[in-house]
Amino acid sequence: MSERGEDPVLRRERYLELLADLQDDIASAQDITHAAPGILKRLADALHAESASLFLLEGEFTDPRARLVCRACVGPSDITGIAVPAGGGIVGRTVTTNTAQLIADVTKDPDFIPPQATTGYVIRSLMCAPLSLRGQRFGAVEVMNRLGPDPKFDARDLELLEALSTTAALALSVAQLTEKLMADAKVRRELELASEVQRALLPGAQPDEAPVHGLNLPARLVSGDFFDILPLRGGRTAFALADVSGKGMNAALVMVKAATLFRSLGKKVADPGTLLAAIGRELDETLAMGMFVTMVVGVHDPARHEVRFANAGHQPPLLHEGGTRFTAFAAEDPPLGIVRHGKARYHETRVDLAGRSLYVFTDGCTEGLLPDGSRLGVEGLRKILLQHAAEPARGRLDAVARALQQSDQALHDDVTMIVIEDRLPQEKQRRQERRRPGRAVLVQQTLPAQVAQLRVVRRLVEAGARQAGAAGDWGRDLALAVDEAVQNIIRHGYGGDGKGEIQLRMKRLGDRIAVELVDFAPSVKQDKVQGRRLEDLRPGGLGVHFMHALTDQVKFLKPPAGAGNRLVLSKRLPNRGKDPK
Amino acid sequence: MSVRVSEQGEAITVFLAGEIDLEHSPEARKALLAALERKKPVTADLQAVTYLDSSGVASLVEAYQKAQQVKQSFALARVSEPALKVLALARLDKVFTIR
Repeated sequence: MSERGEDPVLRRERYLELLADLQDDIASAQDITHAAPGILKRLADALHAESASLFLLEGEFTDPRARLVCRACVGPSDITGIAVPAGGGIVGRTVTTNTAQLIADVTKDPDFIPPQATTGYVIRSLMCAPLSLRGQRFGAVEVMNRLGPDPKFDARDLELLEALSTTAALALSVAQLTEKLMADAKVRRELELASEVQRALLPGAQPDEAPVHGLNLPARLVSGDFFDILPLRGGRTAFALADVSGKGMNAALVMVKAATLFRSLGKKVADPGTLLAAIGRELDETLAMGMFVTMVVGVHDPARHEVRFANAGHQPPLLHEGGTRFTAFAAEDPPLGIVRHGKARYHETRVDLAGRSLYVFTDGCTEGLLPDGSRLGVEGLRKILLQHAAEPARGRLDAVARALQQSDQALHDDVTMIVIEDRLPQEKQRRQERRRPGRAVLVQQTLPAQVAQLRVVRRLVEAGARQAGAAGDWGRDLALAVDEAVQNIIRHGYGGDGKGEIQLRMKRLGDRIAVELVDFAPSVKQDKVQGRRLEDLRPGGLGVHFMHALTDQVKFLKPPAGAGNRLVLSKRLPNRGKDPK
Repeated sequence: MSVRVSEQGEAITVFLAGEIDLEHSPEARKALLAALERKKPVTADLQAVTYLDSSGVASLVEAYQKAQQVKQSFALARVSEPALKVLALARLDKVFTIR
């Protein structure tokens, strides 16, 4: 193209043609390796060079370890693969100074590094131009040995090389971006697949009356959180909630393993402490350095109205006891993967759940942001749970999800939460209220006549009292009275053999509450239930005294057919209005 | 319910915590009586007692009676509100020495 003595108009036309060709190269560039030789050939042809080579920068330009590696070469001597330090030789000088170099006669330049003797290629004249775009250095293109009668390059040749290099740099930039986009697209596709797998591992929506409900809002495609609900024999339910440290594929893979371990071991290992230790042992083998998992596993037993759980370093589960009372249970063991202590059993906590709810959640919940930019925090979470306390579990979880998704910002971290509860049948009560206002069955339960059930009885009575709107103390007094009555049935009625049954029914009748206890023990004679004198400190009589002192009425009524005894304790609900003085 | 026994020199303190009902009062009773067997002054610390029923009261009463038998002192300390309420209901709040 730069024929010496060529007509300038013709020359310009050919220059434009060359540019058009290079534009095509840019448009079709897929990746650098494929684009480079083509671009190089165009340059060599346009410049009448015998050979040309493309050096690409590997590593950060400012890093002393960076190198310039020959990625493409046209001409008699193939030096593809040769590398020089980023600052070395003429090509290094070109990149460093970001200026095109013209060495008309190489023998006169101190920076010239002659090629290896074996190649036998003699370089007489060379030009080198940097390939850079908006400050980003890609490398340099070197052209050697002008063809034709005059083997030396001149200033006009260099001008042309510079002009073409800018376009060549653009082509390379596009090739690089395309390469990255394709790689990203591939990764994204993989993440989407992984996300589908994870979604499939989460339990589906539970029926309304189920004791455990869960919620999961992933912040990104793949989540490091999971929860699971596993039905066991005997109406019990096992549950788990875990948070894997880190983000992305790594965390997601560990999460899948933890979820699988819970599913497979959960049915075989009955108690949470042993189950969590077993999961921990298996995960220890998988967790890479620095990764850890916080996890809570537990079992809900509806027959005992209790939940047992073990906690490895997880954010304290929150128990809503009633009213505005909450209790948090700090973890007794460290997260899985931190210390390989090989314990056979993790610490277990047992909680009475009658009438109460237990919430387990990841810190994505409490660290989540509200619309005003503040953290939700445990306080904020409590507020939402209290506000929606009357709703079913699903409604409460949805309220938390809504609160965290209101903010403009995307979720910072995955939000996962489960609730385990043993609530009273509110729906049934509401229906009854509508039919007979002021009258409702608050609690109905059949229990074994065993001392371990006394605690359950108290919880149920307290919960029923709260439901009827009575304050804590009132309910606790009633619970003590009922406790004493049940004790008597256990000890005297059934003679402490632990085999009988007691039917407990707590009803609201207008302005009072009646607790009815039906047993199948031999009928008791009325006069034996009179309280003894307080001065007589023999145990037994005291209980009856408590029953009378803490309630308004204690009466034996006709038992239902087939039953042994029916005892009813009733207590007037406290006045709502001001006490008349 | 949990029981912890602590000895400081010549005195023994039995710390009772949690709910002392018919299921758990036998354990409390055993601990109190065992402490009194040692023929030292015994204090039952009830600060952490969240529930006390007639059987729990009966255990305290038995300890009181045993103390008289072995001629040692038996007192209650830091009686929690629920426990005090029940003792008052049983009209025993004036009977025990309460520290």
